Parts: sequence; C-alpha cells; structure tokens
Amino acid sequence: MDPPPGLWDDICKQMGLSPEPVRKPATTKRLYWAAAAAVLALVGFFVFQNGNDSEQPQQANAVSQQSISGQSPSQQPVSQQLAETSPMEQESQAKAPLLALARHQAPDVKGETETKEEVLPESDSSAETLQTPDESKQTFADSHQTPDESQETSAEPRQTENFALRAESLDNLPIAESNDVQAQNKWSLGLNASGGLLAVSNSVRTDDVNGLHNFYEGAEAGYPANMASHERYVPKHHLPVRFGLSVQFQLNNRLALHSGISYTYLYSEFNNRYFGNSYDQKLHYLGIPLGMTWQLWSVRRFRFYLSAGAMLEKCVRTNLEGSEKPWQWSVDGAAGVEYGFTRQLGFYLQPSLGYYFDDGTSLEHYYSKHPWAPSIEFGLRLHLNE
Amino acid sequence: MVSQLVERIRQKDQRAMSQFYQMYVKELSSVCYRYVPSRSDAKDVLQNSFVKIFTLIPTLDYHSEEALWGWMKRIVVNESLVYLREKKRLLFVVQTTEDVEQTDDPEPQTERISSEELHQLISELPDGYRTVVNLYVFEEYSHKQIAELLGIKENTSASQFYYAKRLLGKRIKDLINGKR
Repeated sequence: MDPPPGLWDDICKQMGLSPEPVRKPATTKRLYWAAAAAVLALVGFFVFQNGNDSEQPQQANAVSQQSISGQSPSQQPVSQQLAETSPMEQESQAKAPLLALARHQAPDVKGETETKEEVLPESDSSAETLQTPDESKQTFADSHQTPDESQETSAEPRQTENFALRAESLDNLPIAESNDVQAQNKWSLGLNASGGLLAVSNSVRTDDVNGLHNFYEGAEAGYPANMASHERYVPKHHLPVRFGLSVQFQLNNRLALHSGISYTYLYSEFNNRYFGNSYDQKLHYLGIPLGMTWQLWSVRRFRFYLSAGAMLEKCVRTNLEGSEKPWQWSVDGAAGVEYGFTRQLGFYLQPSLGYYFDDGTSLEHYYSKHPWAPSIEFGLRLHLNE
Repeated sequence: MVSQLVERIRQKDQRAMSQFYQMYVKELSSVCYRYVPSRSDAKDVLQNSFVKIFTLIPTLDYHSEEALWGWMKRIVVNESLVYLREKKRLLFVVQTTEDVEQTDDPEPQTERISSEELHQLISELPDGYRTVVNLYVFEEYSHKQIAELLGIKENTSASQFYYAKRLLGKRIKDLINGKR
C-alpha cells in the first residue's frame, strides 16, 4: 500500500537529514528490464540466424535448432559457424531458456507418443474404473483391458462403494472388440485400481515457518495475493486413487514391456486456521505409464515378479477456477504376485514405491507433499498367449 | 545486498537510508494501516517507527533479511499500539449494537473476497476487534501474548476475536451478496 505522502520529508526533518530527491527504484528496474529485453532480442536474433543452418545436429548445445528447418543459405563454412556460434548457443541456452525449452520439448513429446503407439496397437483409450473381481469377470469377456504394472496405489476397503457406483458408468463406455487381438500371442491386457498407502498428517507448526513468508509477501505488499497462503490454510491431502487399463508385451521368457492409460484422482481439503472455513481441491489426471516387468519365478498358480517404470500424467480437470493444470512425472518400482484362476486370467497384487517429481507449480497436493509415495495396486490380467 | 545497506546505514550514509526506506516503506505502511486506518495518524506512527529503526540499526546484530523484517514489523506494531493506547482507542467491548444474527454459518468466507477487500473490511472493524484480529491473525501472537501486550485478560482477547470473526463474516457475506 502506498505510504502517506510527505513521510520521508518528515523523517528527514526529525533526524536532521537533508531530504534528497529519492530516485525511484522503479526506474532502475525498468532499465534492467529494458537491458534484459535488448540482450534477449540480440541473442534470439543470433540463435535464429544460426538455426537456419540445418547442419548442426551433433552439437549438444544446438538442440534448439533441431526443429527449425534450414532455409536461408549461410555464407560461412559450417565448421566456422559452429565454432562461432557455440558460445552464443550456450548463452542463448542460458538466457532464453523458454525459447530453447519450447523447441526442445516438441520433438521429445512427439517421440514419446510414437513409441507408445508401437506398443499399443489396439489400446483402448477410455479410462475405465475397476470393479470387484466378480463383476469384472463379466466385463472382461466383453472389453479390452490392459495390465498396468507401473501404477502403484492401494485399494482401501471403502473404495468398493466407488466400484459399485462406477460399474454403471462402465456399461455406457464403448466396448472394444476382443477379437482385435490376434496375430500377437504375446500380449496381455489388464485392469487395475490402486490407492496411496501413506497417510498424510499435517503439522501446523511446520506450516508456520513457510506460511509466514508467503503471508507477508502477499498481504503486506498489498498485492492481490493468493488467498491460500495469505489466509494460512492448512491442507489435508487424501490418499490418491487411480484406475487404469494396461497392456503388456512379452519380450522373452522373463521380460515384458508394459504400458497403458491411467486416471488418478487427488483430493485435498484446505482449512483456514484462523477463520475455520475450508475449501476443497479436486484434481483429475490422465496418464501414460511405461515400464518393464521381470518375472522372478512361478510356483503352481502363482507368479512373482518385479516391475519398474515411469509415468507421465497431465492434470486435465480441476474444480478450482483459474488453477494450474500441471504435468506430473513419476518413476516407480514394484514387486508383485499374480494368481492365475485360469491359464489366461489372473488376479494380481502389487505393492510399490513411486517418486513424484516436482511439477513446477505452486499447486499443493498429495504428491507435492509426499514425493515418495508408496501404494498398492491390484487388478486382473488377461493373457492372450496362453 | 541488504546487509551492505545496513552497514552503510550504520555509517550514517544518507543515500543508504533513503534506499532502505524505499525498499520497505510500502510494506511497513500496510502493517501500520491495519492498526491505524487513518492515513494522517498512520503517518505519525510510521515516522516514529522509521526514526526508531534508523536509530536502533547500529545496535542490531544482522542475521538475515527475514529477521530484520520481523524486527521492523514489531517496531511498527508497537508504535501503533502505543498510539492507539494514547488516543484511548483501545476499547475491548462487545459491539452489541451491531446487527449480527445467529447465522448457521459462523465462519467468515475469506477465500471468496480479494486480499485488498479483506484488508479494507478489517480496517473497518471497531478498534478493539481490529487490534486483536491483527495481532492474532497477522502477527500470530497467542491470546495469552495478546493479553500481556494489551493489558487485558486472555479471555477478553479470545472473545474479541470470536466476535470480530462473526462481524467480519457478516460483512463478507454482505460484500459477496452485493456483488451478485
């Protein structure tokens, strides 16, 4: 908030100082911004110029140029240009991170989806929910499922209610033809559910230290601050719940590649410490896992295996208006056991530990509070090769 | 950075003082306005506060900017309280004249209004309510500490806060309804 006018003069008078005209820091700030903008423009110009030369893919620093097709002919020989531009490239990498990152990410994302398309030629892209083993036996015959072993979450007793409710919605989903899966006899499909294992306990004391700074920065500066940090909300993060379809491709006797689609639900309550009110945060994610499974041994109808993988999820829906919808990377490792009812159909249980990377936003949720998240997953697998 | 500024202030560098003033005056003014909503009164309080800050900085053992900020804020809060006490503005009564109904939703919906609106509503509270809300919510003193600071009973502090919440809740509701 603006200080009362003439305050500085009065202070000087009282302290016997000579009131100098104070140079507004805003002016110096503006100069810095202008300088930064000029440097960026200059650097960006150089990057663009050199980016038009398409013969520089080997250079690690020239990543940003890969997606730019070379058009304008360069006068200098390529090697000379390489040498000249490499410090510039590094500079541009340092000073135009957004620029480089945007270009860098484009090929990556594309590459990833392509790999997935290879692995899932007939993947059902609808995210379905798990039913109890009895119900799901029926739908198994009708629909595609994919085993998803990289998703770790635990099923809690109360989730069976959710399953019953969602069984109805499953009927409305398009049912894929199971005879699509032919030529390949190394495929398995699965359906699963999982839930987090680690309960969240909120210590109000630790919130104090962090909240204090945010609180003052927001409130005292008079800027429209984020109400959550300003009002000292204490979060309560419920355990994440995940459902998924998965597909698995057997590479050899022991190793298999798996992928699929998952839906994750993160629910948090934020309670205002002082005023007692609260609000809910509901985040919905869709994700694609990718990983490897290694079968350890099998005994009678039981199979024991290890699994490791990574997952990329995107928050596709949130109940808070204007809230960010972040991407979420995670890696995980799991050990599992599968019991085969028949030669084709198995039920599995898979506890696991996942690490959820910082999603780079200010959003608070279960994973931001618990990056190391243990969970347990269970589901059904249909082995098409047996 | 800040530590260098502090060092120069210790040596009575006037440019440093004015630079320091520019850095913190806005935020400290916000603190003061919460206790002393009148701008002209706040000017006196802030003047005293800054003079005190500049005078006492030589004796300060600089640790971090956060600690320094906390120290400056406490000075402003204390000067505000002194001012309010002198002007006999600290009356801790329950504002029974206020038309606060027994609503079934007693908690103020602070998340539905902006930060500035909340500041404004708080500044409009009666002095006793406002002071307790500020000390409890913003300065994060306990009711026990507030009682010691203001020379009242701990119970009084707690009940002032309770009634302040109710009043604030009603004002927020009116504001929200007025928006629709």
